[in-house]
Amino acid sequence: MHYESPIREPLILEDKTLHDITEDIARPVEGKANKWWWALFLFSLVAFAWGAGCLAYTAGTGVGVWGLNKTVGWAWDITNFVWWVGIGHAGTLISAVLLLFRQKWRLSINRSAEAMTIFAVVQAGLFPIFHMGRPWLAYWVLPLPNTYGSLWVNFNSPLLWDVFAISTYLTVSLVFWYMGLIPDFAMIRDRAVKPLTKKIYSILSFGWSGRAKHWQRFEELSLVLAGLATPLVLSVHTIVSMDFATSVIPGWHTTIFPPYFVAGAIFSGFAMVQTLLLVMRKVVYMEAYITIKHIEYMNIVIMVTGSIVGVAYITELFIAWYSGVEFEQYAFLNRATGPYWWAYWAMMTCNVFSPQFMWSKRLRTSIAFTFFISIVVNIGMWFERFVIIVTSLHRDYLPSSWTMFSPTFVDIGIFIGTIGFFFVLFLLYARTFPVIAQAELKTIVKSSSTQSKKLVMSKKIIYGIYDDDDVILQAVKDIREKEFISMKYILHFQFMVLIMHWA
Amino acid sequence: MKPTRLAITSFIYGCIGLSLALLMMWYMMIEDWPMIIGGKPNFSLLQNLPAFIPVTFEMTVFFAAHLMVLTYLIRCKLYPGSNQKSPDPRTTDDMFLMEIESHGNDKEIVDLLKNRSGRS
Repeated sequence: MHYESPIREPLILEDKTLHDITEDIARPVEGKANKWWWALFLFSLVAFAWGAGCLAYTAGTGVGVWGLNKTVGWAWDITNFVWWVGIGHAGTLISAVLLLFRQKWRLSINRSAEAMTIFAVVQAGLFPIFHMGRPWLAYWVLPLPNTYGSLWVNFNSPLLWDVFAISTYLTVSLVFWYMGLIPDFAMIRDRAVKPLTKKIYSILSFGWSGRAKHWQRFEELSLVLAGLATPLVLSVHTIVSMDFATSVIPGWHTTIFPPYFVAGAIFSGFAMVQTLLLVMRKVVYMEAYITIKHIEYMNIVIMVTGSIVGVAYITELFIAWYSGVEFEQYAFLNRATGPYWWAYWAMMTCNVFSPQFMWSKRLRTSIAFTFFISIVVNIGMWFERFVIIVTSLHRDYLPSSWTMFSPTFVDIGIFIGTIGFFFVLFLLYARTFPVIAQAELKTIVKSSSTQSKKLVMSKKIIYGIYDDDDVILQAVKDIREKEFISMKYILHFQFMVLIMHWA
Repeated sequence: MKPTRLAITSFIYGCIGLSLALLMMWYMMIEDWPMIIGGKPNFSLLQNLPAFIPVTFEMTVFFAAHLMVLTYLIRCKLYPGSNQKSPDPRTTDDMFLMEIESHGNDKEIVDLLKNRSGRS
């Protein structure tokens, strides 16, 4: 077994046994929803319905109902797309990258973080599809033979790379998530009392029987999928950033974009994980599993990635000045002091300044403060995308076409609708799925729970010294028969004794 | 227990995905309907390769991941509606279980097992 220092803080609190973990994780699925859940669910459902109405209006009337104009041809839609894709990144980071680094603290949060990834990517996908104007023809982005002769899609275009990246990312995240869910669905199946529930979870668990051979394959599968998902998650936001970086718009045409976008994505994703988990651990009583330590670790990630994003902002500014290109210089001057100065400074305050509070141990272990910062970071990262997209476009090369962008009620409605849809999916998930990867979590009970720590901390060495070899061997025999917990002994002799018959 | 060869299959699937991606883009962009886009070379796969790397990578991952998952499901006979189940529901809770094949020597095996601290 892997050695863990007793000083390291436990990841499972309250002396939970294996059976307690089963009970705690099955409870939200087996029990009834409380008032809070219903209130949040209905609220989200209303937001979702409004968004669905706005989407239907867009599809029926045309993209003209959005606030776009000739100069600003991309605004809230692409901002929201990049925002949602970025949020998705934390889930894969937690489940894949932290698995490769053998970080045990990923175990209580990976399931929900991956669920968040999938639900966020679903929201992201809606925006480009509806921006096409005729969403029912969305399959035209696929390389299919068509009736206009063999006119293929353009593989030189980053927008097409994005189609491949997002669809690979969504489907691979989905199967990665589902493969981990199978043993946990089996746990709920084995506990189910009602025939219908048993039937549903039997189907969902694919007939999992928990054989050692299956677990061995499962371990290998998880490891290889993690190895594939790690470069995949980095490639996705890299390609998203190339949508901008390969163009010739000042403010977009920079080589810093890929790493800067990836850091920003992880930053915003962890903020969203915090927002969701801080609420979830209360509502479904997971405080013993999602501990202050988990929250602190995630805050440290937010602090580090937030600082990387800050360095990227400053580098961008410096390079704009240093490049000597007046268009580039003006784009950045316009960002900071132009008509959208408030968006730029909102971004700077939320993303660069606010995560620096996390240097303080007291603040990063405070739940209320963490929740506040997570919301601030979510807002800040939305503004980052808005600043990059709209302020770079609204004053283009031709001053006569300079304009401002203002969203219509449809733009706002669709955005709020995706937030509603996201929460509808997440709330349904929290009531029907095992929200913690319990089968995997049980593997760390012996090394990282409170009782395991107590056992190690209470360790004392007792010496028994005797003047006869037969007496000491008799003492060993007596101790063995008593069956003390964690009984280990080392014998020291002054000459060789035949003790083979003891073993 | 013999080590599983699942990772090797994934590597093979990845190679298939990589080849298919290159073959597809060569056929569509170079062979069947070459287009001049921004003056980029359109007559050789090698010269156009930099633009094809992202899609090649994505398809490699796509094939390696999905076909490996399918192989895993098939090898473990896991599918919706499968009638396999846990031999004892407690195995998914807090118990470990060992299946032993017996050939008329049941009593001996049971006696041997009873001598442990766990339950049987």
